Amino acid sequence: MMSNRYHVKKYFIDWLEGQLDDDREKEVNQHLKQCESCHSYFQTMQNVIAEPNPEQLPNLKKDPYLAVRIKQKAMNRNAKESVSIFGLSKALTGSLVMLGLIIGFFMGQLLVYQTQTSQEVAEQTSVTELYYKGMVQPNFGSNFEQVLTEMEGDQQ
Amino acid sequence: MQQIFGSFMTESTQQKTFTFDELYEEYGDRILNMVYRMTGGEDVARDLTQDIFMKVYENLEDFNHQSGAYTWIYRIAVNHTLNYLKKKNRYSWLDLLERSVSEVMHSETPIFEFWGNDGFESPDEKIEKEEREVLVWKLIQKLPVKYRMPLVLQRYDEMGNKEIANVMDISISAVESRIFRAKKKLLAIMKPHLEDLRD
Repeated sequence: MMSNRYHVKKYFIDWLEGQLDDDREKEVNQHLKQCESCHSYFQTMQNVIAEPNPEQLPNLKKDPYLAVRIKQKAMNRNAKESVSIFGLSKALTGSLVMLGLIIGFFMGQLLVYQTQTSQEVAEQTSVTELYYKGMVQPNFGSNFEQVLTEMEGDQQ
Repeated sequence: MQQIFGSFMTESTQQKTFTFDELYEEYGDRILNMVYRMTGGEDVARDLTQDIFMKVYENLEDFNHQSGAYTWIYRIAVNHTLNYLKKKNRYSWLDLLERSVSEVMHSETPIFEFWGNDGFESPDEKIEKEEREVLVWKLIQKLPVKYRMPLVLQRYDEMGNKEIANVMDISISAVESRIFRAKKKLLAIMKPHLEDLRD
């Protein structure tokens, strides 16, 4: 049997939660009848732990405009994201633009090269044509002989 | 534009559609006060509530109806608040490193606050005479977050153990154990204030 010398405050929470075995619970209850200090402690703590009074606490009121602000913020964010093409992400849009630029650069180079090549071919064709035109002229042979005569005269 | 509708299972497992405005109207005050009870600061509570409802708005479309709106919103709120307190505790360590030993020893703020660490008890600390519940609430603030969260949900949001387990994503036995330990720790913290707690 517990005497008043051994207070039972340490058993309070187990007592409150019903976690004491039957013998211990009887001893604690017996002690509480005899000990004013423990009785008072149990009563106070039981009130505090088992009977909360949330209405005594400050009760905050929600911001009535918060929902509107949140929607506005989300819309602004979506608007910024919609700068991208066809709803694609910014990174993908940037990559596509870069790819377009690179392809454009190489296409441009290819076009310039092709133009130069075709001009060179055109020039070559025109020289050949001129050569053949010269060959079919009626006075070509006489001119040739004249040139040869002049050359022989110079050597002599 | 973001869709602002979502469907939720009600108690009778019927799907009900809420707009974001309706959800804010229904849970705005409760979430704000829950966060306030956990953090103890009004400005912080308002900032966190804004973040929480921003997440609610962004995820409304993806909500998968596996739980009620109440549980879903509370889960977001609890996770966000715990993350905030975790981060705050991490920064308080950095702050601690910058303070001298004497400053720390004479400080009244908790040194260890997060998971598994005991609350810092200062028996000489005097809390002004006020409503008993306010005093209890201020003492609850000294509990480690791990124990504080389920106790606050039970005490001030009147949640059952099953609901707390759902919201915190832990087992019911873990909830029971944490609440039991929270009460034990709270009793120890309340000891110096016994006179103020009497009616």
